[in-house]
Amino acid sequence: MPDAGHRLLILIARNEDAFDPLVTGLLDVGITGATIIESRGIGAVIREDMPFFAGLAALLPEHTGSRMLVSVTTPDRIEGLLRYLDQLRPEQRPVGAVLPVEAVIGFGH
Amino acid sequence: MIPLPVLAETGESATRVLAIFAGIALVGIAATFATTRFYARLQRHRWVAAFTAGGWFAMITGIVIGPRVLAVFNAEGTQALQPLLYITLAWIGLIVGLQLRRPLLAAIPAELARWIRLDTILSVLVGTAVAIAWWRIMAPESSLGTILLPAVALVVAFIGWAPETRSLRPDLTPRSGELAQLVQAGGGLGAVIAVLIFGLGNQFVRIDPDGPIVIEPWLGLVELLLSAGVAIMLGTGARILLRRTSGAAQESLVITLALVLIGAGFAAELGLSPLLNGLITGGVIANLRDPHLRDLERRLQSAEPAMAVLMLVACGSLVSEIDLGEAMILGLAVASLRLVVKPLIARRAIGPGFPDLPPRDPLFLGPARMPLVAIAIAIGPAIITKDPASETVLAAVMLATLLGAVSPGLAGRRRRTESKTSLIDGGAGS
Repeated sequence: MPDAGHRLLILIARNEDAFDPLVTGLLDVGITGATIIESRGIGAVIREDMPFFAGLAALLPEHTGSRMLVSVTTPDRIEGLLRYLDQLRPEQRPVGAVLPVEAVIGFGH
Repeated sequence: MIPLPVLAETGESATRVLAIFAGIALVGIAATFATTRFYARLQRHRWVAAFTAGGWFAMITGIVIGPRVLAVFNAEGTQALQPLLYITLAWIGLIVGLQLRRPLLAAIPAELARWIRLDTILSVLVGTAVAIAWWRIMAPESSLGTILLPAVALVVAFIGWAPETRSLRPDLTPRSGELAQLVQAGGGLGAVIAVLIFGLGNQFVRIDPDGPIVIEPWLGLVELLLSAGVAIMLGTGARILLRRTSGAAQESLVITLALVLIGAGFAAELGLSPLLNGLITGGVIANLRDPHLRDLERRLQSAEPAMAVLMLVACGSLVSEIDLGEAMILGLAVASLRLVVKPLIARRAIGPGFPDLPPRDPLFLGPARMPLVAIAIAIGPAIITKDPASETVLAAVMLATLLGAVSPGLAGRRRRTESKTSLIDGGAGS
């Protein structure tokens, strides 16, 4: 059961290529609970909103391959994950942040 | 072109050197500004979006650095730009062609198909009437062989519309979102049709530096098949090469550039339309459905704004020897006819499906805006022949694009009471 000593981990894998090693890293350090959200950068939104030549794709908007991962976990697991991510190629490294957690709800159901 | 240090040694050329540096600095400043976060934020503003999508900034930069103002490029210099323009056009053709994915084509709703069919037929009729009137009144001395390609470029300038919708949505309601999706998709589909019509026309009337030549129909068909063969070869070749890479970004960038360069080179050598060649190659790549090619597609598509800016800057600096009066009359005629005809077609074709949106909603007026692909089409004959008729058509298409970018915003401006009513109706309907 997470408590106030836990941290909120937010990571964004920019494409499919960056997502696979991220999942491997999470599982290796023991983070098995996380939420994955399909995401898109503001650049992709602007491109979609303001096409110059090709607008047909508006009928079936495609995901960009970008995914955001949210997890509440312990500081030592985060430290292990960051060490692992540091060894990846720069283009495979996700961007993200670690935040302190004041309280949690809804876990353990 | 004379090297700058040599030019600077002669006193009378000092001003010209200064003008060239000013031109280069202007392009540098414009390019840097276009990559700033401030500019990205500005693009979310309706009017800035309209100006950007309409190419105002890039075209004005092109005109300023062109022979009429700073003269960074003279006639000789613009000829040297020809290979770069061929590459740009081939890239644009690829971007348009990448839309031709089977699932996307299957997702075209019946109402959009009906709209595009009606729009294309009426646009060709109106465009043909305008092209004939232009030939008979303004260029009666030109022979059919000389006038045919710019005339076809003029006709296809009536087909389709700009797919940008950000500037057309003052009220971000779900219903206006649905209509915006149709407008955007219709713009993309119109670009495909315009490139196909012009490209096929180009198969039978070829532009050579010595002048236009009408070629045998069977030869045109053989070359069309050749174009398809080249496209299949490029698509499958790219797939094989991409499978052999380590996945590093640099390797796929090299393959992307090679694909565009070889495609443009084939088109130039065989006298084919680089746009049509690119369109077919894009269609082939999109339908090979190989995961390795998805990265290639994204890379090609992500260059869309850069290619648009490059093309607009180039065309702004190209139109040097035109009859300004003739180009203005023609441009105004194209923009006015589009502003009258296109919204009528839009309301008739899809209006009944959106009874809750006011008839003067900017989204119904959006199709009046010229698609940038019309410039990409008109630029071909102008860069190769340097013929005044081709340059006049290019200038007219540019002017109509500039005017069209702001006309829906002005014509669709609603009165305060009308705006409130439409919001209430839209809210009740959704």
